[in-house]
Parts: sequence; structure tokens; C-alpha cells
Amino acid sequence: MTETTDAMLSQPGGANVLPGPPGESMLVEVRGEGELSTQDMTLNIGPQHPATHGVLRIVIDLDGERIARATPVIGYMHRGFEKLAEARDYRQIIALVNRHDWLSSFCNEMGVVLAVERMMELEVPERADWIRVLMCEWTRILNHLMFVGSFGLELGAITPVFFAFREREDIQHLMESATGGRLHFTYNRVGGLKEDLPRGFLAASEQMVRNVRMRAQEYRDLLQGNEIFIARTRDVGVLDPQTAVSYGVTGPPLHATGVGEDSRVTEPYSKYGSINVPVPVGTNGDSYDRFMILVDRIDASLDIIEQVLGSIPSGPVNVKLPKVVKAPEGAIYVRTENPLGQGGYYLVSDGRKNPWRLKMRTPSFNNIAMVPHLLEGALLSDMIAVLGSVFFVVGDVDR
Amino acid sequence: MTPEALANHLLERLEKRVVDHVIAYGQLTVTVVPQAVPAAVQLCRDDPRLAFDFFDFMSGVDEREDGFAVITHLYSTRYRHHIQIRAVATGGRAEPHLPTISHLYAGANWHEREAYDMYGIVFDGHPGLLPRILTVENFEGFPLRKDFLLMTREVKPWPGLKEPKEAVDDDGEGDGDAPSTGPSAEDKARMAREKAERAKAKAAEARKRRAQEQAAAGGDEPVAADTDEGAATAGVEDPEGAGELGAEKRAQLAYSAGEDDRAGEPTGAADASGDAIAKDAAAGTVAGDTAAGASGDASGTDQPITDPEREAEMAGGADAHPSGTPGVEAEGRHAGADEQAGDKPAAQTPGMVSDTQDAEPARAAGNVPAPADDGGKSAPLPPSGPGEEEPRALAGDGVNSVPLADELGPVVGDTYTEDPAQRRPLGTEADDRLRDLEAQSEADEEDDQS
Repeated sequence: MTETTDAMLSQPGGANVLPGPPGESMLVEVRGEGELSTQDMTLNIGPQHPATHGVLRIVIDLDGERIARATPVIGYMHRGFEKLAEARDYRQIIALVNRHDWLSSFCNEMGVVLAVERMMELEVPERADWIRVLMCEWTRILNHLMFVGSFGLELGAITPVFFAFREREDIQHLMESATGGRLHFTYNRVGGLKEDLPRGFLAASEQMVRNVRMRAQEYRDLLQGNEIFIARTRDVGVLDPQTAVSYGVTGPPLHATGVGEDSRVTEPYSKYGSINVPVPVGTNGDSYDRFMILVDRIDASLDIIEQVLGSIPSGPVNVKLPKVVKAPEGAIYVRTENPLGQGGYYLVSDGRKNPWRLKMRTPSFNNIAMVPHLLEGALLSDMIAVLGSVFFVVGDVDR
Repeated sequence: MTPEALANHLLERLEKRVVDHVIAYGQLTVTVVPQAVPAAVQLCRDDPRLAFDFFDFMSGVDEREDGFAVITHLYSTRYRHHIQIRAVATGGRAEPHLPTISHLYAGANWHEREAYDMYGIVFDGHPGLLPRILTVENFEGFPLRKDFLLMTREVKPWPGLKEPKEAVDDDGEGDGDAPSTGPSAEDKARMAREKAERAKAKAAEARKRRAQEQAAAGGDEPVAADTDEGAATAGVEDPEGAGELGAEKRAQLAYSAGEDDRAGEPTGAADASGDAIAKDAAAGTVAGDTAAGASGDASGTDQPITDPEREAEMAGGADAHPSGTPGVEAEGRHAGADEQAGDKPAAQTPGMVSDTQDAEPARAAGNVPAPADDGGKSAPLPPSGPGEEEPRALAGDGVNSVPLADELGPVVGDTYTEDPAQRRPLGTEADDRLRDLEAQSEADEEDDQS
């Protein structure tokens, strides 16, 4: 570096012209000894196809290699779900909320049915409640496998994604046998579930828990001690707890900062109150912690599934309802711990079969709002490690 | 703090600035005058007894002629209590304005931009509501206002086939009446009667047709057909609906119910499973004969009988079949078959047989005409009997209604029995096309060479 500077200074005129791209050149003004003033550059990252995994359009102002300002440009996938929900009845909304975060579909359904059930003061049969917890955790594992695989891929490690998709495929088969869907399960109903589990589902779940637990260790072996991985993620994109909560950041990015806020523990819904829910937390709040929490959460979910498998009672899985479900007048907010963070639905009803207003509070929206804070001052080359470890789904940001 | 204590505390501190407070479903919503929103939010954040550090969300709500309200939801990670601060924007529907709180909570910035984008509420002091956050730059109007019409719904009625019957149980698009409870008792009775008649006719037809099929296939006892149907019917029936079944089907229902219990509760099901096995043995002797004689027919219709056996396996602690090889284990176990041998063809997932080496001729024959599209069935689960699949076939129908059992009976035949004769021509046609193509390409190659 010094050599270059010396060489430049030695040029006549006190200024230097460095070779740029064809037809262009970059003017470098030399002010003092070894001190360079660079021209700011605006770099437009994206837009990609909005359904591509883990990409977001970001306009970045660069000062040299450092990011001076980052502005996410969202809305490419805005489909007006909140407006659509106002024109649908509650059973149709279940299919709708499946889709804003397509990697957490069952957990999204949970939020809506819980809101309607609480407003109607409906008792859900025990068995249905337990099965909901079971399905939530399988969905969580599916989601985390996706991100564990893709984060490795973004950092240049090809293998984890193959491993992750192998497990995802198996679990999706399992879910498909019960729900009929691979991504959009639409298995919840107001008052219970669509139908009971197929025979042998619990035994197959047990087997699957063993498989995934064994293989979760493989991800750790692949990445946890990997020098390149550590070098690219340690102390990169450090988030402090105060900033995190003021942005409303939740899920792995929040837990990585050491704040273990998780509504399954603090305000248990469904049957989470009767089981032990482990919440892995980090210490540094950096990309590495965020990733390791994701892997740990897979194990935590497996623990929960094991507890659930031992306690599912027999009985009906739904209750009889009138043909048209109407929530009584009023407003309610229900939050659930979704795989990517806290999901919530603010439901305002005027007593009809459609909601008057259904606000979808999505974890990705709040988490991405915080990204400019993380990127400011970071190196451009760290952007991937930062963005990849915030774990978001574009559809969940835009709704 | 409890919602009540919170409300009192805020009333004490904000005095006249609080317009109203509501506690519903354990959640406190405090309505303040619009100018006091920043003060109220700041109090919530900075008061050590409140310590609302977590910004959850902010949402606009259309309040009809009052204009627009904005709800700000805060949470305290220390005390784990919630609050919703509500304010109705000044300026009515024409020019809604509210002071910003984006300087108090960083997360409010984007949420206020969203509220502006969706409702047109201007947050005074916000660093930049434009460009619009979710909609496109040149978007006209504010989509979540109630006067912004959802055009698709305006120009075209709901396209779904199954809109819940509004004429009967919706009182003219909700004018504030209590939710109606559904059709009147009279209507219900009539509908139920009609339904039952239709189902009965269908079931009778299906029974007749199946008997004919079986007679054609090998002239075996109609008993097997009866058993099948009973089992299929009972498999999907929930205990509640059991009363509607004919007395002759009670036996099948009994074992089906036993299974349901066991699926949920591995521990308390020993007696039920024993029962199931006994029943299965009884059914198996009949079915075994059937399968031996008319194995071609077995795969489609005999499935329900195999499931109790499968369940018994599960209850006995046997592992679930690993993905892709369910057939192998099943065969090994039953090689020296007893009376359950007849179940085998159906117990295997169609298509797996080609992988299993020692299939005895009868069994192989039993699997040949099985449906080729085993995509859904090759899940790592034991092959599913009709009992599990039927509700799915009818999933579009109703929210919570458990389908009537006798309604489902015929569907089994309609949906899952495949007529081998119909498939043949397709296959041969494709083969012919393939051959043609090959011949064509060979001819082309020859042309090239010459």
C-alpha cells in the first residue's frame, strides 16, 4: 500500500490518475502525506427477482470500501395482503397468511386462528393444541434448515445447502402426509385443525427427530470451527441489545444480542406453557452468533417435539362451528414466536365475517428496517455476511 | 404491571391528555389526544416503572367518518407488559396529521412510512415519508382506506364455488347483529335428510359396482367387498358421527376407533390394539382368500384391512419404515405368512415392488396394476389407507365439517381405483411415439452421414 502511495506522490502535478473501467478513470486527489480523498459512489444492489432467496434491493453509498449509507428499497413484492384479508372470511385468511412468509406458513396460520379463537372465546380441543405445537416446531426446523444451508452458500460453502435440503425434503414429506402441502400447509382451522394426523405420523416423527438431531451436528462440524467461516462472520455486523429492541428486532438477531425475549416463554400460547422451551441466546450479537443460534434452535425445536410426542392425548381435533365464523366486535393483538422472529396479527373486527382490519406485524419488516444501522460503516465485502445472517423473507417484508 | 395498574399510572401522569382507555382480552389500549402522542410514548419509554423499551408495531385503522386512528404497540422486555397507544389523526379524512415518534423509537420510522403509504396519514417531523415504502412511486390513492375499492372484488364476485350460504345464515351483510348461529333447525333437518338420501344412493351404487367388478375379476365372495367398505367408511368417521352408521358396521368402527386412540396415545392403547389385531385376523382370513384369487383387485380396495396390522407394528415399537424402502421390511416379516398374508399386496407402496427381489408371483401380480402415480404415497410414512386420504380429497368442503362417512364411501372407488384397461392405451401410445421419434432421429443421423 505504501509503495503505491509513494509512487503516486512521486508523479508530477501532485495528482494521480488511476486506471478505471474502460473509457473511465478515477481522479485521485492527493491532499497530504498518504491521505486520500475518494469520490463517493452509489452502488445499486438489485433488484433481483423478488422471490429469489435472501436478496433485497439496497442502494449503497460507498466511501472507498466502506458503506457510508445503506437504503433498502422494499415493496417489490407487495401484494396487498392486508387489503385482501379485508375481503375474505376467516377460513380464507388462513390460506392467505400462509403466503406472506412462505417459510413459516404454519406459524403464521397459528397467529390468525389464535386471534379469532380468543375473540370468540373458543376452547380448542387438547389434542389439536398439542398437534399445533408439534407442527409449529416442524415448520421452525424446516425454516431454519433453509437458512442454515443458504447462509453457508452465501459465504461460499456449497455443502451445507445440500445437507439442509436433504433433511428439508424428508420433513416436507412428513408434513405432506398430514397436511397435504409442502410449503403452504393450511392445516389450521378456527377451533382446531383440518383433520387428525394420519396413522403412523407420530412414530415417523420420532424417527425423524433422531435423524435430524444426528445431522444437525453435521452442520456444526461443517461450519462452526471453519476458519474461513469464522473470519467472515465473527465481529461482523454487531448489534447491541438496546438498538435491537428499539427497532423491534426479534428472533435470532435479537437472541444473538443476549436478549431472550420469546413469546413461547414469556407469554405462552397454545401448549407452550406446559412444556420446557429452550431459548438459545448469544453474547456478541454478531453474524456468527446469529448463525449459531439458528443451528441451536433446530436442536431446541427437536427437544420440544420430543416432549410433545410424549404428551399428545387422544380426542377430537376440532370443534363444531357455525358455517360462517364471525369474530365479535373489538380488537385483539396476538403475537407468536415465528421462526424468523415475532409474528403478530392485530385484528379489528366489526362483528362481520371479514375482519375490518388485519395488520400483519411481520418479523422480517422490523428486522430489515434495522439493516441500515448494521451496514453503516461496514465493509462492502461484509454486506453478504450481515444480510445473510439477518434471516428474512422478502414476501414477509413486503406482504 | 397489570393492565389496570398501567391504565391508572398513565391516567395519573397524563391526566387530561388521555381520552379513553379500554382493556379487552387482557390488553390495554389508551387513547390520547393527537398532540400528546410523543409525550405519552416518551413517558412509556423513560418512566422506570413502565420501561417500554420494545417497539412492536404501528398500524393505521380506518375509523369511518372520524378519519384514521393509529395504534402504537409497545412492550417491556423487563416487566413483560404491553400497551397500545391510540390516537385519532387530526384533519379528518381529508388531511390526516399526527406528530411523529420516529425520534423516540428507531423502528417507528418504517412503520410511519407504511401508515402514510397505506392511509395517507402525514407524520409531522418524520425524516422522510417519501418515496412510498411499499407501493410504486406513481401510485395514486391510499390502498387501505375503506373508500379505496378493491377493484377485483368490485367487478367480479367472489370466484370460489363454496361461499358459505349467505341467504340462509348471514343477515344481510352484518348490520351489527349478533353472529347468527347458522341455518334454522328446520333447514338443517331437511338438508340432513337430503344429504343422507343422496349418500345412501351413492353408497348402494358403489357397492353394486364393486361387487360386479369383483365378480368379473375372480368371482370371489362379496363378503370381502362388504368388509372393505365398512372399514373404509369407519376409517374416516369420527366417534361422534358413529351413531349414524348401520349396526352391521359397528364392528369395523370399533377397531377403527381403537386405532385413533392409539395414534394419539401409545401408552393407553394396548387393549385397543389387541382388539384391532383380533379383528384384523378375522378380516384377514377373508381378504387373504380374495387376494389369492383376485390379486389384481387387491391393491385398490383392500387397503383398510392392512392398516390395523401396520398400527400393531407401530404400537409394538417397530421403527417406522425408512424412506423409500417400506416394502422390503414388510415382505421380510410376512414371508412365512399366516392368515395375514392376504394383506401384503396392499401393504406395499406401489412401485416399490420392483426393488424387492423375492416377490412371489401372486404378490407381484397383485402390484402390477397399481396406480403408477405414487408421488404422494412414497412419503416416508407407511402407505396410507383410504381412511387418511379421503378427507383431503374433500378438503375444499367446509371449514370444520367432518365429512359424513357414508358420503365418503363411494369416493374411494371413484378416486383411487384405477382401471388398468384405461391406462394401457396411454402407455402404448407413448411408447409408439417414442419409437417414432427414435426412428426419426436414426433416419436423420443416416441422412447426416450420407
